[in-house]
Amino acid sequence: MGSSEPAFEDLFRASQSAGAVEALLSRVYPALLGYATRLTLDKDLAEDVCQETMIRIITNLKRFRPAAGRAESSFRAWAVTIATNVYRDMLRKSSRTVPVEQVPDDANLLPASRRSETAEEIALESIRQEALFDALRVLSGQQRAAFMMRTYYGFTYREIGEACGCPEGTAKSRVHSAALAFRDELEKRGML
Amino acid sequence: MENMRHPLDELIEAAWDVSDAGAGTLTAPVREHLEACAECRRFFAELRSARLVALSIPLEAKVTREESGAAVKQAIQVAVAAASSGVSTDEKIGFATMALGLLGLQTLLVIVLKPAGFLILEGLLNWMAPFTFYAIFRASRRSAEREEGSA
Repeated sequence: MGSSEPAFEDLFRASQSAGAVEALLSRVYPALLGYATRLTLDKDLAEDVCQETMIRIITNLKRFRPAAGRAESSFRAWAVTIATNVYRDMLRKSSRTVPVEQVPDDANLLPASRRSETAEEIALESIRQEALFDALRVLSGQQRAAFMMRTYYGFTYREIGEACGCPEGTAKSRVHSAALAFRDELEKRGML
Repeated sequence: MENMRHPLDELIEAAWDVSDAGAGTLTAPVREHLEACAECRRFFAELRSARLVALSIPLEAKVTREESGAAVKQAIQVAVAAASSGVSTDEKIGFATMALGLLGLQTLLVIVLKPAGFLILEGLLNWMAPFTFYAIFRASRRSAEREEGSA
Protein backbone atom coordinates (compact mmCIF):
# COMPACT_ATOMS: atom_id res chain seq x y z
CA MET A 1 0.00 0.00 0.00
CA GLY A 2 1.58 3.24 -1.07
CA SER A 3 1.79 6.17 1.32
CA SER A 4 0.05 8.38 -1.24
CA GLU A 5 -3.15 6.32 -0.99
CA PRO A 6 -5.90 7.79 1.18
CA ALA A 7 -6.68 6.19 4.55
CA PHE A 8 -9.34 3.51 4.35
CA GLU A 9 -11.57 5.35 6.83
CA ASP A 10 -11.51 8.49 4.64
CA LEU A 11 -12.26 6.42 1.58
CA PHE A 12 -15.15 4.69 3.32
CA ARG A 13 -16.63 7.97 4.59
CA ALA A 14 -16.34 9.42 1.08
CA SER A 15 -18.05 6.38 -0.44
CA GLN A 16 -21.08 7.02 1.76
CA SER A 17 -21.53 10.54 0.49
CA ALA A 18 -19.78 10.71 -2.88
CA GLY A 19 -18.79 8.30 -5.58
CA ALA A 20 -15.58 6.91 -4.12
CA VAL A 21 -16.97 3.38 -4.21
CA GLU A 22 -14.68 2.56 -7.10
CA ALA A 23 -11.53 3.41 -5.13
CA LEU A 24 -12.83 1.52 -2.11
CA LEU A 25 -13.57 -1.63 -4.08
CA SER A 26 -10.32 -1.41 -6.05
CA ARG A 27 -8.55 -1.45 -2.72
CA VAL A 28 -10.15 -4.71 -1.56
CA TYR A 29 -10.41 -6.40 -4.97
CA PRO A 30 -7.03 -8.27 -4.87
CA ALA A 31 -7.84 -9.72 -1.43
CA LEU A 32 -11.38 -10.54 -2.50
CA LEU A 33 -10.18 -12.29 -5.65
CA GLY A 34 -7.52 -14.12 -3.64
CA TYR A 35 -10.17 -15.36 -1.21
CA ALA A 36 -12.60 -16.32 -3.97
CA THR A 37 -9.87 -18.17 -5.88
CA ARG A 38 -8.95 -20.24 -2.85
CA LEU A 39 -12.58 -20.81 -2.04
CA THR A 40 -13.70 -21.91 -5.49
CA LEU A 41 -10.36 -23.25 -6.83
CA ASP A 42 -11.59 -22.07 -10.22
CA LYS A 43 -10.36 -18.79 -11.68
CA ASP A 44 -13.46 -18.07 -13.78
CA LEU A 45 -15.83 -18.95 -10.98
CA ALA A 46 -13.75 -16.81 -8.59
CA GLU A 47 -14.18 -13.80 -10.89
CA ASP A 48 -17.94 -14.44 -11.02
CA VAL A 49 -18.06 -14.64 -7.23
CA CYS A 50 -16.10 -11.36 -7.01
CA GLN A 51 -18.44 -9.60 -9.44
CA GLU A 52 -21.57 -10.65 -7.59
CA THR A 53 -19.94 -9.84 -4.25
CA MET A 54 -19.04 -6.33 -5.37
CA ILE A 55 -22.57 -5.77 -6.68
CA ARG A 56 -23.98 -6.81 -3.30
CA ILE A 57 -21.45 -4.60 -1.52
CA ILE A 58 -22.47 -1.58 -3.62
CA THR A 59 -26.16 -2.30 -3.05
CA ASN A 60 -25.79 -2.71 0.71
CA LEU A 61 -22.95 -0.28 1.44
CA LYS A 62 -25.20 2.16 3.28
CA ARG A 63 -26.22 -0.58 5.70
CA PHE A 64 -22.64 -1.50 6.60
CA ARG A 65 -21.43 -0.17 9.95
CA PRO A 66 -17.63 -0.45 10.31
CA ALA A 67 -16.16 -1.44 13.66
CA ALA A 68 -14.63 1.54 15.45
CA GLY A 69 -10.90 1.81 14.88
CA ARG A 70 -10.71 -1.09 12.44
CA ALA A 71 -12.84 -0.04 9.52
CA GLU A 72 -10.69 -1.75 6.91
CA SER A 73 -10.54 -5.16 8.58
CA SER A 74 -14.27 -5.13 9.34
CA PHE A 75 -14.99 -4.12 5.75
CA ARG A 76 -12.79 -6.97 4.46
CA ALA A 77 -14.50 -9.40 6.83
CA TRP A 78 -17.88 -8.18 5.59
CA ALA A 79 -16.77 -8.65 1.98
CA VAL A 80 -15.53 -12.17 2.76
CA THR A 81 -18.88 -13.01 4.38
CA ILE A 82 -20.74 -11.77 1.30
CA ALA A 83 -18.39 -13.70 -1.01
CA THR A 84 -19.04 -16.86 1.01
CA ASN A 85 -22.79 -16.31 0.73
CA VAL A 86 -22.49 -15.72 -3.00
CA TYR A 87 -20.49 -18.92 -3.45
CA ARG A 88 -22.99 -20.83 -1.32
CA ASP A 89 -25.86 -19.52 -3.46
CA MET A 90 -23.98 -20.47 -6.62
CA LEU A 91 -23.37 -23.99 -5.30
CA ARG A 92 -27.05 -24.29 -4.51
CA LYS A 93 -28.16 -23.07 -7.93
CA SER A 94 -25.81 -25.23 -9.95
CA SER A 95 -24.09 -28.52 -9.45
CA ARG A 96 -21.03 -27.13 -11.16
CA THR A 97 -17.93 -29.11 -10.29
CA VAL A 98 -14.39 -27.83 -10.54
CA PRO A 99 -12.33 -29.65 -13.13
CA VAL A 100 -8.89 -30.59 -11.90
CA GLU A 101 -7.16 -28.97 -14.87
CA GLN A 102 -8.57 -25.57 -13.93
CA VAL A 103 -5.95 -24.90 -11.31
CA PRO A 104 -5.59 -21.13 -10.99
CA ASP A 105 -2.62 -19.48 -12.58
CA ASP A 106 -0.21 -19.59 -9.69
CA ALA A 107 1.87 -16.69 -10.95
CA ASN A 108 -1.22 -14.54 -10.44
CA LEU A 109 -1.30 -15.43 -6.78
CA LEU A 110 2.22 -14.41 -5.93
CA PRO A 111 2.37 -11.30 -3.79
CA ALA A 112 3.91 -8.18 -5.23
CA SER A 113 6.90 -8.53 -2.88
CA ARG A 114 7.95 -11.70 -4.70
CA ARG A 115 8.00 -10.19 -8.17
CA SER A 116 11.68 -9.28 -7.88
CA GLU A 117 12.74 -12.88 -7.28
CA THR A 118 14.59 -14.94 -9.85
CA ALA A 119 12.73 -17.10 -12.36
CA GLU A 120 13.91 -20.24 -10.59
CA GLU A 121 12.65 -19.05 -7.21
CA ILE A 122 9.33 -18.06 -8.70
CA ALA A 123 9.02 -21.44 -10.43
CA LEU A 124 9.75 -23.31 -7.18
CA GLU A 125 7.27 -21.15 -5.32
CA SER A 126 4.70 -21.82 -8.04
CA ILE A 127 5.16 -25.56 -7.67
CA ARG A 128 4.75 -25.26 -3.92
CA GLN A 129 1.65 -23.08 -4.33
CA GLU A 130 0.19 -25.58 -6.77
CA ALA A 131 0.73 -28.39 -4.26
CA LEU A 132 -0.99 -26.30 -1.59
CA PHE A 133 -3.95 -25.65 -3.87
CA ASP A 134 -4.20 -29.37 -4.50
CA ALA A 135 -4.15 -29.93 -0.75
CA LEU A 136 -7.06 -27.46 -0.39
CA ARG A 137 -8.88 -29.37 -3.11
CA VAL A 138 -9.47 -32.34 -0.80
CA LEU A 139 -11.78 -30.16 1.30
CA SER A 140 -15.44 -29.79 0.36
CA GLY A 141 -16.68 -26.31 -0.60
CA GLN A 142 -18.32 -25.85 2.81
CA GLN A 143 -15.26 -27.08 4.69
CA ARG A 144 -13.00 -24.82 2.63
CA ALA A 145 -15.15 -21.76 3.33
CA ALA A 146 -15.16 -22.40 7.09
CA PHE A 147 -11.44 -23.28 7.09
CA MET A 148 -10.47 -20.11 5.23
CA MET A 149 -12.64 -17.78 7.29
CA ARG A 150 -11.12 -19.19 10.48
CA THR A 151 -7.52 -19.51 9.31
CA TYR A 152 -7.04 -16.33 7.31
CA TYR A 153 -9.58 -13.93 8.77
CA GLY A 154 -9.95 -15.15 12.36
CA PHE A 155 -13.74 -15.38 12.21
CA THR A 156 -15.44 -16.76 15.31
CA TYR A 157 -17.47 -19.95 14.91
CA ARG A 158 -20.65 -17.92 15.32
CA GLU A 159 -19.61 -15.60 12.48
CA ILE A 160 -18.72 -18.58 10.29
CA GLY A 161 -22.08 -20.15 11.11
CA GLU A 162 -23.89 -16.95 10.14
CA ALA A 163 -21.95 -16.65 6.88
CA CYS A 164 -22.40 -20.30 5.94
CA GLY A 165 -25.98 -20.60 7.19
CA CYS A 166 -25.23 -23.35 9.70
CA PRO A 167 -25.17 -23.67 13.50
CA GLU A 168 -22.05 -22.67 15.43
CA GLY A 169 -21.30 -26.30 16.31
CA THR A 170 -21.41 -27.31 12.66
CA ALA A 171 -19.05 -24.46 11.78
CA LYS A 172 -16.61 -25.65 14.44
CA SER A 173 -16.85 -29.23 13.26
CA ARG A 174 -16.22 -28.11 9.66
CA VAL A 175 -13.10 -26.18 10.66
CA HIS A 176 -11.80 -29.10 12.71
CA SER A 177 -12.41 -31.71 10.02
CA ALA A 178 -10.89 -29.40 7.40
CA ALA A 179 -7.78 -28.85 9.54
CA LEU A 180 -7.38 -32.60 9.97
CA ALA A 181 -7.91 -33.30 6.27
CA PHE A 182 -5.46 -30.53 5.33
CA ARG A 183 -2.83 -31.90 7.71
CA ASP A 184 -3.33 -35.45 6.34
CA GLU A 185 -2.99 -34.19 2.79
CA LEU A 186 0.20 -32.23 3.56
CA GLU A 187 1.61 -35.29 5.29
CA LYS A 188 0.78 -37.45 2.26
CA ARG A 189 2.60 -34.96 0.05
CA GLY A 190 5.60 -34.79 2.38
CA MET A 191 5.03 -31.09 3.02
CA LEU A 192 5.03 -31.27 6.81
CA MET B 1 -3.49 -38.50 33.25
CA GLU B 2 -1.87 -40.06 30.19
CA ASN B 3 -4.63 -42.69 30.26
CA MET B 4 -7.32 -40.10 29.58
CA ARG B 5 -8.88 -40.17 26.10
CA HIS B 6 -6.84 -38.30 23.49
CA PRO B 7 -8.31 -34.77 23.63
CA LEU B 8 -8.32 -34.35 19.84
CA ASP B 9 -10.90 -31.54 19.67
CA GLU B 10 -9.07 -29.47 22.27
CA LEU B 11 -5.76 -30.03 20.51
CA ILE B 12 -7.13 -29.05 17.09
CA GLU B 13 -8.72 -25.96 18.62
CA ALA B 14 -5.46 -24.92 20.28
CA ALA B 15 -3.31 -25.70 17.23
CA TRP B 16 -5.65 -23.69 15.00
CA ASP B 17 -6.07 -20.88 17.51
CA VAL B 18 -6.31 -17.53 15.76
CA SER B 19 -4.19 -15.80 18.41
CA ASP B 20 -1.42 -18.37 17.81
CA ALA B 21 -1.18 -18.95 21.55
CA GLY B 22 -0.77 -22.68 20.84
CA ALA B 23 -0.63 -24.90 23.91
CA GLY B 24 -1.15 -21.80 26.06
CA THR B 25 -4.89 -22.00 25.41
CA LEU B 26 -5.13 -25.60 26.66
CA THR B 27 -6.67 -26.40 30.02
CA ALA B 28 -4.35 -27.80 32.70
CA PRO B 29 -5.52 -31.46 32.39
CA VAL B 30 -5.14 -31.39 28.59
CA ARG B 31 -1.69 -29.78 28.88
CA GLU B 32 -0.64 -32.48 31.34
CA HIS B 33 -1.89 -35.13 28.95
CA LEU B 34 0.02 -33.48 26.10
CA GLU B 35 3.23 -33.54 28.12
CA ALA B 36 2.77 -37.21 28.91
CA CYS B 37 1.48 -38.50 25.54
CA ALA B 38 4.00 -38.62 22.69
CA GLU B 39 1.27 -39.44 20.16
CA CYS B 40 -0.68 -36.30 21.05
CA ARG B 41 2.47 -34.19 21.01
CA ARG B 42 3.23 -35.35 17.48
CA PHE B 43 -0.39 -34.76 16.44
CA PHE B 44 -0.32 -31.27 17.92
CA ALA B 45 3.03 -30.39 16.34
CA GLU B 46 1.84 -31.59 12.93
CA LEU B 47 -1.31 -29.52 13.17
CA ARG B 48 0.69 -26.44 14.13
CA SER B 49 2.96 -27.00 11.14
CA ALA B 50 -0.06 -27.49 8.88
CA ARG B 51 -1.44 -24.16 10.09
CA LEU B 52 1.86 -22.43 9.33
CA VAL B 53 1.88 -23.96 5.84
CA ALA B 54 -1.72 -22.81 5.31
CA LEU B 55 -0.76 -19.30 6.40
CA SER B 56 2.08 -19.26 3.88
CA ILE B 57 -0.44 -19.14 1.03
CA PRO B 58 -0.55 -15.48 -0.03
CA LEU B 59 -3.92 -13.92 0.63
CA GLU B 60 -4.04 -11.42 -2.17
CA ALA B 61 -4.24 -12.28 -5.85
CA LYS B 62 -1.75 -10.48 -8.05
CA VAL B 63 -3.88 -8.29 -10.28
CA THR B 64 -2.91 -5.16 -12.10
CA ARG B 65 -4.52 -1.84 -11.30
CA GLU B 66 -6.20 -1.97 -14.73
CA GLU B 67 -7.68 -5.41 -14.08
CA SER B 68 -9.00 -4.33 -10.69
CA GLY B 69 -10.39 -1.14 -12.18
CA ALA B 70 -12.14 -2.95 -15.02
CA ALA B 71 -13.73 -5.52 -12.71
CA VAL B 72 -14.88 -2.84 -10.27
CA LYS B 73 -16.28 -0.62 -13.05
CA GLN B 74 -18.24 -3.55 -14.46
CA ALA B 75 -19.72 -4.33 -11.03
CA ILE B 76 -20.68 -0.68 -10.54
CA GLN B 77 -22.38 -0.56 -13.94
CA VAL B 78 -24.43 -3.68 -13.16
CA ALA B 79 -25.35 -2.39 -9.70
CA VAL B 80 -26.39 1.00 -11.08
CA ALA B 81 -28.45 -0.61 -13.85
CA ALA B 82 -30.18 -2.88 -11.33
CA ALA B 83 -30.87 0.05 -8.98
CA SER B 84 -32.34 2.26 -11.73
CA SER B 85 -34.78 -0.46 -12.72
CA GLY B 86 -37.42 -0.57 -9.99
CA VAL B 87 -38.99 -3.78 -11.27
CA SER B 88 -36.93 -6.88 -11.93
CA THR B 89 -36.83 -8.48 -15.37
CA ASP B 90 -38.68 -11.57 -14.10
CA GLU B 91 -41.48 -9.40 -12.74
CA LYS B 92 -41.72 -7.50 -16.01
CA ILE B 93 -41.98 -10.75 -17.97
CA GLY B 94 -44.63 -12.02 -15.53
CA PHE B 95 -46.78 -8.89 -15.82
CA ALA B 96 -46.46 -8.81 -19.62
CA THR B 97 -47.45 -12.49 -19.90
CA MET B 98 -50.46 -11.97 -17.65
CA ALA B 99 -51.60 -8.87 -19.58
CA LEU B 100 -51.21 -10.63 -22.92
CA GLY B 101 -53.07 -13.69 -21.61
CA LEU B 102 -56.02 -11.58 -20.41
CA LEU B 103 -56.12 -9.68 -23.69
CA GLY B 104 -56.15 -12.98 -25.58
CA LEU B 105 -58.98 -14.33 -23.41
CA GLN B 106 -61.09 -11.21 -23.95
CA THR B 107 -60.48 -11.32 -27.69
CA LEU B 108 -61.59 -14.95 -27.72
CA LEU B 109 -64.72 -14.06 -25.77
CA VAL B 110 -65.54 -11.25 -28.21
CA ILE B 111 -65.21 -13.69 -31.10
CA VAL B 112 -67.24 -16.45 -29.45
CA LEU B 113 -69.95 -14.30 -27.82
CA LYS B 114 -69.99 -11.50 -30.41
CA PRO B 115 -69.53 -7.90 -29.16
CA ALA B 116 -73.04 -7.62 -27.76
CA GLY B 117 -72.78 -10.89 -25.85
CA PHE B 118 -69.33 -9.93 -24.56
CA LEU B 119 -70.63 -6.59 -23.25
CA ILE B 120 -73.51 -8.31 -21.50
CA LEU B 121 -71.09 -10.80 -19.89
CA GLU B 122 -68.76 -7.99 -18.81
CA GLY B 123 -71.66 -5.99 -17.37
CA LEU B 124 -72.99 -9.04 -15.56
CA LEU B 125 -69.56 -9.87 -14.09
CA ASN B 126 -69.07 -6.27 -12.95
CA TRP B 127 -72.59 -6.09 -11.48
CA MET B 128 -72.12 -9.45 -9.74
CA ALA B 129 -68.67 -8.68 -8.34
CA PRO B 130 -69.76 -7.17 -4.98
CA PHE B 131 -72.23 -10.04 -4.39
CA THR B 132 -69.57 -12.59 -5.27
CA PHE B 133 -67.10 -11.08 -2.81
CA TYR B 134 -69.81 -10.92 -0.13
CA ALA B 135 -70.70 -14.59 -0.70
CA ILE B 136 -67.02 -15.62 -0.41
CA PHE B 137 -66.70 -13.58 2.79
CA ARG B 138 -69.84 -15.18 4.33
CA ALA B 139 -68.77 -18.68 3.34
CA SER B 140 -65.33 -18.30 4.89
CA ARG B 141 -66.83 -16.86 8.08
CA ARG B 142 -69.32 -19.73 8.43
CA SER B 143 -66.53 -22.22 7.88
CA ALA B 144 -64.47 -20.55 10.63
CA GLU B 145 -67.49 -20.60 13.00
CA ARG B 146 -68.07 -24.30 12.28
CA GLU B 147 -64.43 -25.07 13.06
CA GLU B 148 -64.64 -23.14 16.33
CA GLY B 149 -67.85 -24.98 17.29
CA SER B 150 -66.38 -28.40 16.60
CA ALA B 151 -63.26 -27.52 18.62
